[in-house]
Amino acid sequence: MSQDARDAVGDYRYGFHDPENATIRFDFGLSEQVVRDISELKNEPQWMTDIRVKAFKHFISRPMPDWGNSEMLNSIDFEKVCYYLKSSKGSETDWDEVPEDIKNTFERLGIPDAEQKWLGGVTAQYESEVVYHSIREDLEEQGVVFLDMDSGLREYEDVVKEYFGSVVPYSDNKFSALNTAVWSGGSFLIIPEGVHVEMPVQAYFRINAKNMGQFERTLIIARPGSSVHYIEGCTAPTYSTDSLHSAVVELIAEEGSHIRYSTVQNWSTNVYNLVTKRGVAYRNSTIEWVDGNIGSRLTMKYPAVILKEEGAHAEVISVAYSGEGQHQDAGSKVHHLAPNTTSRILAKSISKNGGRSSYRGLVKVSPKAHNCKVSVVCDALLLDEDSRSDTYPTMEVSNQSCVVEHEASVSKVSGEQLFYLMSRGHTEEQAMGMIINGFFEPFTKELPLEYASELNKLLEMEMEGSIG
Amino acid sequence: MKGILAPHLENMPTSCVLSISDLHVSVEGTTVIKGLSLEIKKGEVHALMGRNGAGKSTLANVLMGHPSYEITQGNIHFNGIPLDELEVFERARAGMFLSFQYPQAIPGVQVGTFLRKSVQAVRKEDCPTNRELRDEMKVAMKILGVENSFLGRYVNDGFSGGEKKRLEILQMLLLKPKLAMLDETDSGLDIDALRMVADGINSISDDAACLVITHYQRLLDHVKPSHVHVMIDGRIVKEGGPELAIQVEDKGYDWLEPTNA
Amino acid sequence: MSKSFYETLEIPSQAIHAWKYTPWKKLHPTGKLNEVPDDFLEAEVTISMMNGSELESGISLTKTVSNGNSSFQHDDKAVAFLLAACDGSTWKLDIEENTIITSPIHVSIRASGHLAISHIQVEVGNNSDVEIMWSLSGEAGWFGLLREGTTGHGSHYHEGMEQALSPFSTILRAESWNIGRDSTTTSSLLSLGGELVRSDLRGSLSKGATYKQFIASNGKGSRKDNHHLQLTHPVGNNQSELIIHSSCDDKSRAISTGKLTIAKGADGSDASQIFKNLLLSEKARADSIPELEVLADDVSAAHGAASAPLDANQMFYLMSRGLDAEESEGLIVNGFLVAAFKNSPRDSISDWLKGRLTIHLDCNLLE
Repeated sequence: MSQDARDAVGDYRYGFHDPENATIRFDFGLSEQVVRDISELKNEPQWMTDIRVKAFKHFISRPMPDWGNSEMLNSIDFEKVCYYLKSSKGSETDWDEVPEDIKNTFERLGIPDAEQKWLGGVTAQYESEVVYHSIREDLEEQGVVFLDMDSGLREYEDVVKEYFGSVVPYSDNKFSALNTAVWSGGSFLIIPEGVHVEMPVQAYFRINAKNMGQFERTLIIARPGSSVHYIEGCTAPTYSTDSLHSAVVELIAEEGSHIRYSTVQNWSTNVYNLVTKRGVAYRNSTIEWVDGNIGSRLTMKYPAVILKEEGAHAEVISVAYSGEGQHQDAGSKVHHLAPNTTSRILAKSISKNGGRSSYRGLVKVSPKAHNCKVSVVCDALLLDEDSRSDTYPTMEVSNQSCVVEHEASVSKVSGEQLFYLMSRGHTEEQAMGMIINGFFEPFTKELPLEYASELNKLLEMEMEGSIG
Repeated sequence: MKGILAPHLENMPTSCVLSISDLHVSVEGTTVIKGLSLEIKKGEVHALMGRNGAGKSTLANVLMGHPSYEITQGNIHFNGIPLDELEVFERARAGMFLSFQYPQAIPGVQVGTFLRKSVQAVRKEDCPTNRELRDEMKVAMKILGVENSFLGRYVNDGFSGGEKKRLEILQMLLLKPKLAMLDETDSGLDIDALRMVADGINSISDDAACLVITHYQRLLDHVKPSHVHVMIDGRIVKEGGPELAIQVEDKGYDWLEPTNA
Repeated sequence: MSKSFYETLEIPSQAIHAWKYTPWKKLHPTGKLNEVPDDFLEAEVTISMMNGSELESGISLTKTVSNGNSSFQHDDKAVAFLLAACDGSTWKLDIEENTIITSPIHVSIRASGHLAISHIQVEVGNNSDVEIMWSLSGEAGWFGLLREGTTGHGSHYHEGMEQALSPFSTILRAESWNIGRDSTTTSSLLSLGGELVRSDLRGSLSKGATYKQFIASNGKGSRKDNHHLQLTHPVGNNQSELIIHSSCDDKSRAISTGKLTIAKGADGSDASQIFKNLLLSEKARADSIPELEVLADDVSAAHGAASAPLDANQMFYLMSRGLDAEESEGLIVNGFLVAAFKNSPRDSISDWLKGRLTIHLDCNLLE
């Protein structure tokens, strides 16, 4: 990491980068040819190539969103991004086969260790391609399919053809179009009927090269009565030039199933993170998004749930931490399309050192959605006078019988709370760290223990030196 | 600690844990404590009585270092150390403890975690292992009649008045202070809770100096004070033994008003 | 403001918060979107004391031709339209400095004809104290109301407004208020009339100022009542409060959008906005967007929104006391709407509006 970069970002602990040994690297910039080249390289069926090209055309013609942080969005130079970079021969299932330098990266991130201890399966994506994936034998025996998306397309073409773009069409927004045009990697996960995956499965996304664009595509299908907890983690080295991460995640929760999708996004602060995540929940199923945004320069991400059939439930718990130069524009969207559907959104944000956190949400209750219940709670904590918090909640209620509640507050850490904790022997920094961990607790308690304690440490570190 | 007084005072055989001389305190320009002196030695229990607004809570907050109060005159020593040199957390680590009248809620922070972190911060020298601490907690929680589930709740968040006071005393028992200040710890407690809180105080009073702030005799039925002070309008107007507390209970405070004296 | 200026402005995009739910083409009286018709009729404006006595001194209502000075944001298409439509003709309601008016004043605005318009500037002098009840009535097919106000240092200005135009009117209202230093302004609005109503209120608070806006909106038939409120705290140590209670019956639709901005350094700002909707029928709809932008840390900012049907327990309780379903519902709706005024500091205003609402609801029952 250059000294400049170090100065710019401080002590980002995942900021190391390893020598880049690309086997295939596309030139910077995007064109229809680039899109076709990616598809050809992957030896894809014609229908996928066609979708990619259509999506590319849509991306080109679609204007940049004029909401959110359009100033930052407009500073993205799509010509200075590498849209495809492959550093290994293929996706390995044996850790020893993974190229040494990439293995080093993931070992430094503690991945193999975590896999042994508490994960049901792992995929690790490095730049554009998944370099490693594994799944516990017992899950494989029960018919759980856990592949990288490219392998998924090869091995389960019919399934991919049926569901790809069915939840997030390429025309949904500019960045879903971009992802559909140039997607590579991501996870493909099918949980068969009645199977409960007890240990979480994890995908790990790592950007290593400069000016990289990572566009993974994830599709999770939970068949009736099944359940799964999927976790994704993201890091990147810190460079003074920007990288772009634009993923699309589609979830399908069939009758009575339960999908929990947890994210701890800790990109370095030179990454633009523009992600579309959406799930469709059928009868009596539950989709939970547990979404933590700590890193990146600009995140625009609004995990969504379409409650399509009676009794479906959506749960979104999100936290955002915005430090210097960061803008977390995050939130949630829930569409109630059927009766007796319920949703609960809890969004918490902390802004510090001039950072900006925005909650942007939409709750829509359609005329047919009788007796549904919606609760939205947004809490924001401002740690200093230079920081900013926004709340942009939209509620559209077209059914008389449902109960919709929204409340939001903005506050700062009270002097009395600090005094109380300091009177018990804690320094001001420690006291602040405690209050902040407590503030995020509703989020961290939903994560596996190992993750939660990692996140708490991370936040405590963020607090160090924050008290003038 | 650069204080010249410190070594001198510490060598004195019956050294004062707390020594306040001619203290004047103002808050937002109003003088609230108007010349107060007080000395408390190890093993002594001092009761500070007075009506609401007499300046009792102010004294407790000033001693703990609350930033809203300004000491305009006088000085305070804790075990010979001038207090103005110590930050709030350093006072706690030096052995001062305040049981707050209105303990703050810290949502999301579990009582168990908080207790462990506080013990680690304050009892640096004889820091118990996790196992030892667990045993200490068991004993203390038994004295206070507190269930195990208490530890999983968030600090003072949604607590009843009695629960808050029990958590304060639980912290006191675990932090083993040299000076325990209890600000209206008896208010809002039913008789059982009061007895348990008193048991808690009595269990440390041999090894610590105690300052019990109250405006009722109630707690003093269970915690025998060695000294009683009555405070009116920012000054101590009367001092005595346990009998003074009983007189106050009978006669109220009017007879002690400086104008009636 | 000239018609030619109006023509230069773009049709507002629905991406803009204030224009999200009621597009300009629905509001424009003729549908020829770049046209400002010539045949506007000015609404009749009169002033009197509520109690019928002679108008007290210190207060005056005069008609002037405006010199073009206006506190409005001119680049808003609707504001430019209204300014062009009234062509400089302006009513000035002046309250002199240090005027204390002991009994409420009544201002009546009656809009009739095909297209009606009115522009009113309210100027409240320093340290004066006045209560004004505004009645908006008439059969106009389309009515445009521009109001702008300035309240002086240390003044107390409290108003109630009953908007009871014909149920078939389209109403376009734009307001702009500057709340003076250490002054208190409250505005309580009972919104009853019109089939399509859009009101856009902008306000800015000085140091020490208090501004409260309370709105009760009664939705029935195919009424669409769209309120946009935009308040700014450019400096701190002040307080704002927005409360909207909307009842939505039949096919009616309530739209409440708000934007509270606390500027950088505006410490000590206390801002709240609460939007509540009571949904009474299958086809009713309520949309709420209470936005909040906070750029200072030492503030108290909170907002809430809620939509719910009639409370079954309340209904049961009332019916157990012998009221039929319709009467019970009427009582609950009445109670819900007047609760919007519960923080109004002047009983005279909330009592007046409560009385107006009761009359209105009783008339409905008779229909």
